Amino acid sequence: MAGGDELKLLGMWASPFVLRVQLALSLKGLSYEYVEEDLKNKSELLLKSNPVHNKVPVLLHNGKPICESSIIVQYIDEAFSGTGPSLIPADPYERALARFWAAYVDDKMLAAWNQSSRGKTEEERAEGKKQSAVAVENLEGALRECGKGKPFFGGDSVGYVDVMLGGLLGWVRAAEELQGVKHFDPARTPLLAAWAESFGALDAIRPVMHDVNRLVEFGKMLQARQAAAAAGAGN
Amino acid sequence: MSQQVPPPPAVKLVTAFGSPFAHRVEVALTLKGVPYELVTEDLANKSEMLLTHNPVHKTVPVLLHGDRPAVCESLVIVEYVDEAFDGPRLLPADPYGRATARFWAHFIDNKCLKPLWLSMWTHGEAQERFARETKESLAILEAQLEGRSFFGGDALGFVDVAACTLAHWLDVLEEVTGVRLVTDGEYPALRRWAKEYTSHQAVKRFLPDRDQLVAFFAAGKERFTSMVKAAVQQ
Repeated sequence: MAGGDELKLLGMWASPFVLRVQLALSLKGLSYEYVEEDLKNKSELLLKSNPVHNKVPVLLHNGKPICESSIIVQYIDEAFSGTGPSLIPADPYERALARFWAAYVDDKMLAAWNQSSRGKTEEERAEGKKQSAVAVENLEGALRECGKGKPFFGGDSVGYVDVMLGGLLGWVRAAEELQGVKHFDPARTPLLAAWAESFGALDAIRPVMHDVNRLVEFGKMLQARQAAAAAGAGN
Repeated sequence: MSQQVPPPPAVKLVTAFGSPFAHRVEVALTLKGVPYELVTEDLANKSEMLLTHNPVHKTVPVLLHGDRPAVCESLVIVEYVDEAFDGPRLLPADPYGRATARFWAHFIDNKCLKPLWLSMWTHGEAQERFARETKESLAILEAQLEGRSFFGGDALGFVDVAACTLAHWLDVLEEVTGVRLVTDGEYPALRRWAKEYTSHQAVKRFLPDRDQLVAFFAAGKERFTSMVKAAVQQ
């Protein structure tokens, strides 16, 4: 790491978006200061650094803020291109493919998962489940296309899409207990199921990943809170 | 429409009339000086070719470059064009500048254009909510311009191309639906930017004819309303 590079990450322990940044920093071998934010009482620094969204993660590089997990991960790869492995391929077409699937993870797959668990009506949740199945199937195809028989979206080694999807893995596992749903079912998406195991086992990844039990407890608390709010609102 | 006499262009852009997303790519290709062939789709009657090249989203724009598989999603395509071809940079060279440009393009897509579209085709409380969200985003973009000609500074760049809907499509939608998001005197910097953008020599040829655009959205009113109704059940 170049001398004089100060990295500070504003985060929240359960956030899969924050985790993505931590995974990228770990893969690149970059050290940083981590600041846990209380999202009910956001710090001055967070509000000043992300005035548009007021959200975590925010990465501060020598005091300059970068926001949005996908943008931060790309930034880390570009600003520290000489340090550690490359997360994003060099070839323009491969890069476009990686960006396409990274965007898909959030715009389509995560959106469908959210709808399937948080949709306000039975109909919405059912539609969310249907879209989730399509999204996961598409991602299975993507892994086949991008990985070309290798374990990761990045091929032999972890890349941008792996990090973007990998940040969600803790919650994917937690969902089995919280919602009784198995997003990466080995029967339906064998490549993704195998990918989840391989990714989680990597030395740079394993120590950073979410504690699934802690997420389950947190998820149960959120569910209880949601139910109480719905009951209180007289729904 | 840009056409070059032999050899035939290595680049094909699949577009549809009225698409601001396909427009982004045309401007990007033109700024880079890349010759291309335009293939126009009727999105109400999608071709096998489109469904083969974009099986995931089934929409335009789609870029075909030589014998490489298709590149889809307008901002992904614009970055691809920036990196695959020589010519003036659409995104800055430095990582922080690139992160900033991506942030604003992302903001425009998610926080501005999404609610803008929804505000046009919904009613009542939902419509008010989307309109409010759009206006908040427009105010943020207004501040972001800070009196510069373009979001990129002196030259038209990535964020300006991303914001193209605001320059040419917004007032067409307002006219067709009667939903006024921009009242007189509001967002002066954005309105100035819109004039700069639409009169730029790399842009004006690719703006769909305004009367045709009005007719296009007017004809699609029912279809867009029901599409939005289905999407908004959240």
